[in-house]
This record gives sequence, C-alpha cells and structure tokens, in this order.
Amino acid sequence: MDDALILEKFADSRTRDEAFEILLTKYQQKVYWHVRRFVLDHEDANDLVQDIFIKVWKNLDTFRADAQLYTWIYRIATNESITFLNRRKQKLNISLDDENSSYLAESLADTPYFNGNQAQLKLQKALLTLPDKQRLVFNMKYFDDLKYDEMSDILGTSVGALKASYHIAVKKIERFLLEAD
Amino acid sequence: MKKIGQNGNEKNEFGLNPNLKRNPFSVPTDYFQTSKKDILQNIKLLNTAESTFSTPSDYQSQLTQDILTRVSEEKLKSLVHEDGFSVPEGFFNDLNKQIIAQTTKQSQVVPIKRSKNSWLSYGVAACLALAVSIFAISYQTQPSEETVEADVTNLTSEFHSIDVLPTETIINYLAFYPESGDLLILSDHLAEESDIYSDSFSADEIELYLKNSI
Repeated sequence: MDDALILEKFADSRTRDEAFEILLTKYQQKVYWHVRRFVLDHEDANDLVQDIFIKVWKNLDTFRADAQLYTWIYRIATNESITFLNRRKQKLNISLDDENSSYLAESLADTPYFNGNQAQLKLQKALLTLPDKQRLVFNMKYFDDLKYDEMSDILGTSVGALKASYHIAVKKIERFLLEAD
Repeated sequence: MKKIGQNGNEKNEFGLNPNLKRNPFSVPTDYFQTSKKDILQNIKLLNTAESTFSTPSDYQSQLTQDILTRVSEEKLKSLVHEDGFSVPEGFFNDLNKQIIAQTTKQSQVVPIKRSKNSWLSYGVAACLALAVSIFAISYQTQPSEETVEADVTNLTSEFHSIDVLPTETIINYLAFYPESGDLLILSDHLAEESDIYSDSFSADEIELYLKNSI
C-alpha cells in the first residue's frame, strides 16, 4: 500500500490500527536489518525495533507529509541505534570521541544468529575497524542499497560528505581484506 | 570480351546483362539539395546543445571517484554479497504481534511498566515545581531586587549612615544580599534600634497608647 494511503488511514481513528499494521508489515524487516547490522546483536536489535515502532506509532500524527515516510522511520531508527551504542560505550567507559567500533566485537562473536561464511565474517570484522557512523554509511549503501539523497535525508549529512565517507570505507575494507589474506 | 546471348542481348564476361548494373533505387525530388541543409542544421543544433549543458564544478574528478568506488564495491560484492546475520524462526511474525500488543496497551492508557527511573523523574519534577512555586510566591510578596537596591542606595546617600535606615529596608536588603559581614553589622544595628525604642517611652505612655489603640 502507498505511504500516503497508510497515513490517510492512520489519521482516521476507525482505521488507525489497520494502517499501523500495514505500516509495520511494510517496514518492519527493513528497519530490523538496518538496526541489526549496526548493533550486531539480535536481542539488542529486537528491543530497539520495538522501541522504534512504538515511537513511530506515538509520533505518526506529527509526521509532515512533505517528507518521505520511510526516510522518517529510518531517521528514528538511526537515532535510536546511535543513542543505544553511545550508552553502551558509556557503560564500557569508552569515550564517545573514540571512533573505533571494536567494542562491538564481542556482540559479533556472541550472537547465536550469525550463519555467515568466512568471507562474511571477515567483512564484519573489517567493518568493526570503521567508526560507527562510517559503518552506518557503508551498511546503508552496500546492504540496504539506499541512494545518497535518501541517506542524506536520513543522516542529515551532505551527499558529498556521504560519498567521500563511503569511498574511504570501501578502500579501508579492501585493504583490511587484503592484509587478512 | 562481349558475348551475344540466345535472345540476341549483349552480355558481359560473367554472362550478365550490362543493363542490370544500373541503380534501380531512386530518391525523392530535391533530396540531395535538402539533405545537405538538414545535416548542417542538425550539426548546428548539436553544437548549441553541447554549449548549453554544463556540469557542476569538480564533476569530472567526482565522477572518477564515484566510478572507482563502484568498481571496488562490485569487487567486494562478488566476494561477499550478504551480511551473514540470521534471525530465529518466525521472529518477524512474533515481533509484529509484540509491537501491536504494545501499541494496543498504550492506547488503553494502562501503565504496564514503570521503571524506577520514571518515578524518580516524576519526583524530581514535583520538587522542581514546588521550588519554583515557592520562589514565585516569595518573589511576588517581596519588592524586586532593583527596588531594594535603589532604596538602599538612595537612603544611604541621603543619610550617610546605616543607623538611620528603616528596619524594613534592612530586612529586604538582607533577603537579597545575605552575606555574613552584612548580617553582623546589621544585626548590631537592629539590636541598637530596639534598645532605642525601649528607652524612648515611659510605662505611662505605653499604657495610654494601648488604651487608645485597642
């Protein structure tokens, strides 16, 4: 169903629940994978996705129709995930300025829901050498296949900066994989 | 060498009638005159179009970088296309139900869980509201800081001595400038002032005052 129709149905109290269920079915998996690739652990991703959709449900009334709905949902998901990882860093006494994502290595090693092969594991390890936000940019482009314009709307960063960030990320990963071989 | 066929027509060395060499195709009238004109016009149009379009500054270098990134990306994707993560069986169905259940509960305005932190935040909010209310009430009942300061300045400049300041002015001043040094000086003054009053009236005068005022 078209987003505009979902919003229209959500605005009507009689069809609100139905509209939310449709929205959930449409975006739930995309949001889950976006969050999961960022926080790595399934349980963390599960909790976050629930929080994100409760926020969506609470704030959908205030959503301005001039923006894309999925961009708005992705933005909520991204902000929630960044906040979550910042809290994790604080718990581990890691400075928020520390750009290394290696503190997540444990989450990657411990998660029972990683069925990847050696190459996939290597790629995830390579991704942990990137700063969190660069990892986010890489995931959004590489796995979610989002356009730079869309990423720019979600992350509030210029297209040029995103392109540069992605280019550097790809080069770093290439280098990491070469050195690992 | 020319040959003559059975029907008496002339043939070439391959036995074909030389008339067949003639071009059987034709063109519209004045085609070659107009085609030249058309071609020149198209070239002109193309040149105009090329000069009309422009690219953003640094486009070419950006394009090079974009292409190189895409090449690296494609190489990487040929090695690793998926992330390797998985979810428990039936997870997305359960997740859907859980979220729907939560929104239903919340729409019924039944507080399901309330963490210690939320109670703490309510407590802090209540304390803040109380503190602000007390401040607002006391602020309304007292003259403003500027008024008191101006009063004090005017009076001190007028009388040049703290001894002549009215008690109320001193109390208001203390409410805004409660410094220990000031307090000592002013408390001495207040004590002296009360002594002055006690000495200035006789017992008869006080009795007469009380009779008239009650």
